[in-house]
Amino acid sequence: MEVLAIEPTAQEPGVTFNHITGEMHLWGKSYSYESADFFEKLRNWVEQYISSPAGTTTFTCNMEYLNSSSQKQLAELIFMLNEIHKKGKELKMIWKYEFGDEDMLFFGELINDGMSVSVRFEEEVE
Amino acid sequence: MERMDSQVEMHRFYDHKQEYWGPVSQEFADAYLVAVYETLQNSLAPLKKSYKRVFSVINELLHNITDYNIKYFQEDFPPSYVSIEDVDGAVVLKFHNKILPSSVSGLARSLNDGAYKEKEEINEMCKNRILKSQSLGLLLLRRRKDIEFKWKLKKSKGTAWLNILITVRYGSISN
Repeated sequence: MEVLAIEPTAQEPGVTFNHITGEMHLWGKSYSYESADFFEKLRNWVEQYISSPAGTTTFTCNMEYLNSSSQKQLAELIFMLNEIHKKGKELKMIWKYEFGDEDMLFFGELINDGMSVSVRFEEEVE
Repeated sequence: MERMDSQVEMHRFYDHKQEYWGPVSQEFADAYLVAVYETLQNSLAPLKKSYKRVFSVINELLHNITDYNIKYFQEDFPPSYVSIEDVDGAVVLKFHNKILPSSVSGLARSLNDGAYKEKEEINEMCKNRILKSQSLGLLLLRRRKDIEFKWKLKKSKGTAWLNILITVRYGSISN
């Protein structure tokens, strides 16, 4: 297994998923028409990771913008991580959003509803 | 609009308005959205959260048009019209898309998704869909008080057009 590192583009987010440290970061914007293809890469990595996760997994999401297609893909991806908690390993979820971005906060709350651990919300200072 | 040459692509830029007439493909939509995001981010910078709301409308509608064109017209996409205009504290978005008369009832159902519902009801719909790995589609637009959404289906001489008018008010209105 290798670290997954993807640089962000105008339409696709940056990714750093580290199977050794358990640190997973997703940031930027996601609004490509073919977002499903992008997130499939991430799902494949996570599927492999959750079979033998690190002692502690910390997923930090810091998205500036997500279209509806990406929201669906991201939700599916994040909900996969519940498996880590079921295996008795520690899972931490951090949802960062821009100051005043009520829509990103709302989506984070939807994610929280589907998680077996509580999401920690962090609003960035303006 | 029906008189315009369907083979021509047209981009017009004014001080507070831009228009596009031409086919909306996946390639066009992605390129157009990148340009629009940057334009909105710069022009609505003092109203930070507003530019994303405006963009989300354009994003969702443009991708819906692309989905429709791929499904019903395969590669021979008809021209569509897209305009973005800044008018007195609001951004007015217009989309006109040629559609097949046979798809009218299905489109009407999609466009009415979440209409006339209270915000809490829409929130619950959003929650249920995300938990079932379904797309939220236009629901997120429906829950915002600062977005007014109007649409009309017009049939004329064997063709049909979907006309959408969305007004996004920016400023002090909050949810």
